[in-house]
This record gives sequence, C-alpha cells and structure tokens, in this order.
Amino acid sequence: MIVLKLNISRIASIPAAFVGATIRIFLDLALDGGTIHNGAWIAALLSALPSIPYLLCLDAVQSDKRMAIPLRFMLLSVTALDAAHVLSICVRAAGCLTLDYVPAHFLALPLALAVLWCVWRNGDAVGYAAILWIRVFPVLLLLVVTLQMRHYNARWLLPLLGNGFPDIIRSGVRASGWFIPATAIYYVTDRSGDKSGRRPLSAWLSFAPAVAALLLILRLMMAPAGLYGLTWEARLDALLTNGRAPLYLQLPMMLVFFFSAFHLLTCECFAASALLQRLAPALDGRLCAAVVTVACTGLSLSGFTVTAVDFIAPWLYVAVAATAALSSLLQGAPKGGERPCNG
Amino acid sequence: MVDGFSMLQRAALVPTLNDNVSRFRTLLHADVNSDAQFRFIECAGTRLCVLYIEGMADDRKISDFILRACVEHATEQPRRIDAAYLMEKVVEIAQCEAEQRVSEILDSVVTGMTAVLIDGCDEAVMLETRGYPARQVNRTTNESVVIGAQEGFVESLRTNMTLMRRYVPCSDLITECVSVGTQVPARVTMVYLGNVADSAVVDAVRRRLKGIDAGTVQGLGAVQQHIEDQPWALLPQILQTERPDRAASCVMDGQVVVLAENSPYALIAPITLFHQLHASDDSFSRWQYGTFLRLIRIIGMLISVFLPGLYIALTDYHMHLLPLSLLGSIAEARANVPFPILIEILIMEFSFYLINEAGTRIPQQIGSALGIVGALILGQAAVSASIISPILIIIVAITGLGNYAIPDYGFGIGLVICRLFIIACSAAFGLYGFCIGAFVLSVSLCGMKSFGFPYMAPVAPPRPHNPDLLVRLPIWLQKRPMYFAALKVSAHGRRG
Repeated sequence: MIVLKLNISRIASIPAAFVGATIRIFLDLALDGGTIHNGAWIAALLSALPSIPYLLCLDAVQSDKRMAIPLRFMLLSVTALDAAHVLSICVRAAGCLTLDYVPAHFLALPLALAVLWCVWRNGDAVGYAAILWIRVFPVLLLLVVTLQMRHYNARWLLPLLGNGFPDIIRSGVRASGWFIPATAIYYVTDRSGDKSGRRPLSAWLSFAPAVAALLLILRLMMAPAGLYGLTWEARLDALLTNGRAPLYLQLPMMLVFFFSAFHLLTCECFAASALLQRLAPALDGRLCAAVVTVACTGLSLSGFTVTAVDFIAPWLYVAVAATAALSSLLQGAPKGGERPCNG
Repeated sequence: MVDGFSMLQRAALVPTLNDNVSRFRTLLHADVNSDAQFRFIECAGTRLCVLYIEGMADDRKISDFILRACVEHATEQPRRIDAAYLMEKVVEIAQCEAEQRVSEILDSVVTGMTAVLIDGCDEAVMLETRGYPARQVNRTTNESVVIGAQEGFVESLRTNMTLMRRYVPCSDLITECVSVGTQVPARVTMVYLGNVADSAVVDAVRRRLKGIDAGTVQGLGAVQQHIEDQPWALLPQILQTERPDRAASCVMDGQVVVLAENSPYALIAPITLFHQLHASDDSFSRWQYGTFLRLIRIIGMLISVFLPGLYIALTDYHMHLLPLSLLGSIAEARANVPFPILIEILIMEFSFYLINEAGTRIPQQIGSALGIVGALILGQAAVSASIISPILIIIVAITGLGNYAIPDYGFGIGLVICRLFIIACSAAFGLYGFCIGAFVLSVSLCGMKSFGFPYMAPVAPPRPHNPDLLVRLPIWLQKRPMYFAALKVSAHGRRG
C-alpha cells in the first residue's frame, strides 16, 4: 500500500528549482569548475542561453506520458549523482572548517538523515522551505555585504574576461548543464491544477543565472581570482572566510553557504525520489526516499562523484537536453494509443 | 447491566408517570445518589414529577417559577395537562422545550436543567435552571496585557458564550453546540461568523469534533489533541487563548473558536505560526508601538531557540569566529569550570526549568522565596563553586527571557524542546550541526498544516494578507480578513 505519494505543488516547485539552480551554478563556478576566473560571472549569465530551450522543453513535456520514461530515467540518474556530489561538498566543507578529524561518514550520516526526514515531509515542505530561504537569504547576504563592505575591491574584477572567451564559454556550457538536476524538481510537479496563462518555469528561472552572477561578482571582489585557486579547499576557504575580512565576520557567510547547500541537496534528493516513484509506482514514497538517500550517501562517501561529476559536467547539457527534446518531439507526433482521435 | 442501561437510555418516554420515574431512578442511581431529586406535585389535577440534580440546578428558580407556578395554577375544572400547556400557561421560565428521548433528558438534567415529567403524557418539559456555583469573570492570569480589555474566559460555557456575544454583537455570530465523548459527553461549542468563516473550515472543525471517539474528553486540552492535524509535531497547530477579545478578533478574521464547559480558555483554528507571536496589545497600541513590541517578541523567539546552540557551536568548535577579546573573557570565565560546555548548558537549562516548574506549582505566599533561592542563592553559589561560568548564566537568562516573551504558553514549551534539539546538533557537529538542526526545523515548520492551511503561510507559501504579520502597519491599511476567510471584505467595508 502506498502511504506516501511524493508530489509537489507548482507554487512550491518553482522557488525550489530557483534556489537549486542559483546555488548549483554558483557552486560550480566558484568551487567545482577548477580555478575561478574573472569571467565566471559572465559565464553564469551565458549559462542562461542554452538553458532556455531545455526549460521550454521541460515546460512542454508532460511527466505522466509514457514517452517521458527515457527522460525520467536520465533525470533520475543525473539528479541522484549530483545530490551525492552536493552531499560530498557539504561533508568536505564541514571537514575543512573544524571537523577535519571526524571521519567523513560521521559527517555524512546526520545530513543524510536530515535530508531523508525533509523528503518524507513531502514536496510542499521542501518547496515552502525554499520560499522561506528566499526571504531570509537577502537579509543574511546584506549582513555579509555590510560586514565585508570595507574589503570589497572592484578592481579585482579586472581583467573582465579573465582567461578569455574560450574559458567563459566552456564554463557557461558546463554551468548550464547544472540546470538539469537542479530543476528536476519541477519535472515532478503536480500540474493538475495549473491554469493556462501562468508564467512558465523558464520565465522564472531566467533570474537564477543573474542571481548567481551577482553572488560571483561579490565573491570575486573579496579576493583576487586565482590567488586561492589552487585547490578546492583553498577556494572554499576564500569563499567562507570572506577573503581578507577578519575571521569572526565569516559566521553569516557560513550560514548562507550551508543553508543554501542543504536546500539544493534536499531539492535534488526529493526530485530523485519522486522520479524513482514515477518509474516504479508500486514503491512507497518513504522507501523511494530512503533508497535515494542511501544511494547518494554511498556514492558520496565512495569518492566516485568528484571524478564522475568532473567527467560528465561538460556533456551534461547536451545529453539531457537532447533526451528532453526527443521526448518532447515524440509526444507531439500524431499517433494512436493514448492520444484521443478527435484531432 | 450495561446493556440494560443502554436500552433504557435509548428508549422514549411512556405516558405513565410512575414508569418514567422508575426508569430515571434507575438511570440516575437514585437509591445511592442523594442529589438526584424527584419532587412530586399536582397541577390542575394532574400529577407531575420535577426532576433535577441538587446543586447543579438553581433551587430558587425551581421553587419560585416551577413548583409554585404549578401548584398555584388553577383551572375552572380539572383538565389533562400536557407539555405544550405547561409551557404556555404554567411555568414561568423563559427557556423551555418539550423532549421525548430519555437520553437527551438525562444529559440535560445532569448539566443542571430541570425536567418536568407529566402523568399521561409521553413528553417532558425541559427547563433552563442551571445555577451551579461558578467563578465570576475575572482578569486573565496567563495572557496579561498592559492596554486593552482585562477580562478572561471562565469555566462556565454559558458565560464564555455570553462574552463572545458581547465582543461580537452581530446576528451572523453562530454558536453551534456539539456533544463530544461517547461515555461522558462534554458540551463543546463552535463559534464563528456565518458570513465570514469559510464553510470548508467550519465543516472540517465540526467533522473532527464529531469524529472524536474517546469515551471521555477532559476539557479543551483533550479536544485539541484529538483534532490537531499533526499530533506528533512539537508545536501546536491550534491556538489557545484565555482572552475573549482575542477570540473575538479571530472570529472576525474568519477563524473558528471552540469553547467547552469547564475550560477557562478557547481554541482557535486554523492558525499560522505568526498568530502565536501576536498579542492583544499589538491591536490596542498605535501601530509603531505594536510593530516594535512584535519585533522584540520575534527576536526573543529566535534567541530562545538558537542562542544556546550557537554559543555551544562557537565556543566548542569555532573559536576563531569569536572576536579575540570575547574569546578571552569566555576562556577566563570557564578556566575553573570542570564540565564541558554541553553539560554546563544542560545543568543550567534543567535548573531553569526546575525553578520554573516549581514556581508554577508553589503556593503564591512563598513564591518570592523561590525566586530568592533559585536566582540568588543557587546562581551565586554555582558560580562561586565554579560549577557554572557567569557568561553561561547570562546566555541562559537571555534565552529564558526570550522564551517568556512568547505569548502562547504551549508554543513556548514547544520551542524549548526545539532548542534542546538544536543544542544537541550543535554539540555534536558545531556550526555544521547547528545548520542541520535549523534546516530540519525550518522544513518541518513548512510542512505543518493547521486544518489544511500551511503553518508558515502567508510567508511560505505567499498568500494575500494584511500588513500585520511581522510588522504591523497602520490600521487603515488593513483591509482584509485572514486569507482563510470566505469573505474578502474589510472591517471598514472595503473590498480587499
């Protein structure tokens, strides 16, 4: 018997997707994508361009159609993999702070349990929490900016193009790929109550790269790009310690970082669990969430995600967008079966 | 025996007085119950039996307006008296009705009404004679305000309903009675504005009240636990208030108020988290003062939940996040304390709530002694003995004050438990654990519902609402009732 059907209303899924996409683009360009360069914020803005056709496809594809199964499977794999990667980011960040003596599985376990609990609360809870975060985030960001104000240096944004156009385009395409797992939550939205004329997801999510770009500009003005860019830990340290600001001012930045990452992780885990339930409707939502969370935790602790994410990131956009386009086309093609014959 | 009782209760009256009386004698255990009174009189040649419970019914009303009226009623010739005649011509009590069902008569009699059984008639006359001793309307004890009405609900349901009528003098005010409990029925009343409250909400409250299948329901506290959306959640999803003005304000916003006999407070549903941070003072004060006080309360709530956890995370794990001078002070103060900070905090939290609980139970005359023992002697001695650091006393004191700023008692206790959860998370994993705890708390709050309405609305999800949430803007900008009301018309008659 199905006790929990994982679903999310549209009003909750769009903010969740927005928060997820913003944070994912930021994390990719500021932490994961190798040395951060001055053009990172331009890359964030550029990532919107290839994403829009994908998001339009996502608006068009009806998740309950059989033709969406390949896309569903693809999204599930990518979202679960990225959730595992975000989990490992959180664990590594916690270790980098003061818990470096704690084994990674001890750090991953409480977070995995917390995420499991949150997913069990179902999609609306996750989405409404994202709305709450959208309200609180600017307040904390304002605090960060105020504390850091004297240390920002606009000259560190120069040279504007950083390592040049090829690097910006490469980063932009890579960042646009992260729209896919971050917005997967929209794919499992309950659209039964949708009214025509409502603004689609693509319109809302165009803001996500802009916000990510703003955050990257702030980050780039904290410390010169490349100064701390040698290792992932150094980049994280530069991000959390506000560059040159006194250490005690980094508290709000740490709160912003962890809460944002937790929201992204929960959105992705929820989306993956809901996708799994769509693929295997006989499974209870609680079981799906448990399977996904355990799988993500295992993947994250195996260390596989870092190399896997690095490998798939440049191709992610092309692969999933092609599948989405194919699903969309096949749905639109005239055929018998489910489609009514009244034209 | 029980089956026999049930059969007697389910039956209707018969036209023979002696049979009816013997049935009630059995049901009321009159052979052992000395307060069940059966008074036989004659009215215009017809035998009557006046049935009431001594102490629950008003003796003066019975003797003056029932017994004397019946005995002195004279007709030119003996005639057959029935219930309708008795109500029209004889008894001098305003509220009366005819009743045939034994169970209904019995339920009314045990609550203080008087039944007049008539020989040769299969109907009894039920007369409103409730007159048991009850506390007078008095000042509120737990929800004090500086400005505004001072009276609070009392144990008498009738008085509470009258108070609601006084505060909402409107013909659309509906007071709907529901009997709750299968074995010992309790009288519960739903109060709402017929043209403002959403019928779906009213139906939901009614359905849940009627769906309570417990044998006994002891007051509104039990009712609340039976009808809440999520009984496992730490925070209450129904508001309790002992202030009729606050209940009336909620009724006008489209909420449903539930009152019960013997409960000196009201339940209000549906609610949001923000209702539990509002106090009556906010409405009575000018908007600037109301806003300021409300912000203080919200900061108090945040301090109450997060401050000890943050303290433990920073001092145990992230000393580098503290300014050097503060870190020096803390280290100096803790130099001789033998316990880890977690133990220190738990000792203080436990002591604080021990004093709090003792203060609630202690007789008022020696209450001040408790304050002296708790605050002065214990606190001073603990610091002198290096069991507790002075800075921790400041932390716990501020936390306690923050908690006391919250107007709702149940909500305050829920937040204390949340605080302990945050302390545990922070003690285990520092700021990382603190963030995990706070995140779980925020998602849990966002997942809660009160009668189907999101608990964190109108913030998450956004809903149209008055500018009276975290800050309170001027009264003329508040044009609409709460979003869960059916009618979207303001108190000023403007469309919201």
